[in-house]
Amino acid sequence: MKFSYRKYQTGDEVDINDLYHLVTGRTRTIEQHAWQWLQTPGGESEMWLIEAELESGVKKLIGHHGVMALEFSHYGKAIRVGKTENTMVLPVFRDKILYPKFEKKFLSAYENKFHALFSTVGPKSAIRLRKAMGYKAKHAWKKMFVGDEPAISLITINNVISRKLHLEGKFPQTPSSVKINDTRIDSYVDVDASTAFDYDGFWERVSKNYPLTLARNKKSLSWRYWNNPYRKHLTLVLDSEASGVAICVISFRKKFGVYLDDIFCEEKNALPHFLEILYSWSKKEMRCFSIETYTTTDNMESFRSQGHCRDNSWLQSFYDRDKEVQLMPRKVTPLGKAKGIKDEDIWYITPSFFEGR
Amino acid sequence: MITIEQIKLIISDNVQDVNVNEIPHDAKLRDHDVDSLDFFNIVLGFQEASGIEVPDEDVEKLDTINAIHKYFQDK
Repeated sequence: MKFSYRKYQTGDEVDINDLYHLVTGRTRTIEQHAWQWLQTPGGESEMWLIEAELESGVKKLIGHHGVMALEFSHYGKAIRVGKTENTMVLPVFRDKILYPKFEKKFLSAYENKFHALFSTVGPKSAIRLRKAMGYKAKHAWKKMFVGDEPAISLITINNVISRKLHLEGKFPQTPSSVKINDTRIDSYVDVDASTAFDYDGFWERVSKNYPLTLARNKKSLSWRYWNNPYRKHLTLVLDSEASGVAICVISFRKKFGVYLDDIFCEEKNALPHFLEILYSWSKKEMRCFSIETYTTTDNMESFRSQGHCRDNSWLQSFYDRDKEVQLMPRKVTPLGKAKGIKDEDIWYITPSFFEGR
Repeated sequence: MITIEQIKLIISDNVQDVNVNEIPHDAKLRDHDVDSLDFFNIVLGFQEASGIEVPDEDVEKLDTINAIHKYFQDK
């Protein structure tokens, strides 16, 4: 059997979605595919197809490797970063092709279009493969909790039932924002003011303080949160007299309950303060006593606070004791190095990096 | 030509945590924790040792130690 590869062409999304369904069991609509692969703020994504030529001469899609093009920032400089996604081969063909040979070819074709590349999570074999492709995988994903013990542990137990009952209805069906002033949490909720918030101006000002991270301008936020076809998000503008402003995005997840998708503020060292404000607000407004989020081990200290943000609950430690550590592979390309990005170690990571599937 | 011993050496050089002596010669390598990257590296090792390039369509023939031995004997 002969195998060949080519780039995505308009119309391939039907076969790609079928392959995605066969490999993952998940279904994806054409619109969802377009959102993830064709409408990303970083411009044209990379989609590579591996085909087998059947005896009839017909070519069948048996594998796919994709890199989502994302808009990033490196201390205020706009850069373009690729996120590997939908790397998949039909199980019956896995021992018929040398998949790494294909990915090596794809990488050499797209590497110079990106300043950096990363993957989120994957099986051990995928992490090994990325390392063989020059990625560094030093830092692991880390679950963080904002809340009180024992509330964190109790809610870990009944997160599906109680949070669903209390919280799901609180999430708006349209993109919404809420403005909170930490000195007047009880009285200050102004939806109009924060919907009109100058997100572009704010990001332009604060991005200079952040190492390699996702851009949070209005275009990127709109794509990732406000026009996300998979779930609704609530955007909060946290306004603190002591620490300035933070933008915080939360959503409701069946598995996690209230989930902190993203947070960024003027000074990174003010993050714990804003997490405290978020916690106070969510207790009052959402009756939520625990918020979950993710970062990586190199960012944990930015999130951890003396108050309510910690990296584990005792119950979660028990559940997670045998779980495999999930590393995050990252690679700065020659183009990125030429732009002054020195290494793979200094990134600012929130769950926003997971977006897309 | 590559000997069975050379094949086993190339496999053990490229696969972590697998004792190649415990793999029966007619057992599929993929059933013994040999993942796609291992297999890719193993095939590169065979190519280097034999000086023979393995075309894509022949990859699936290299599934057991015996099959690999026969493949390179026939070349």
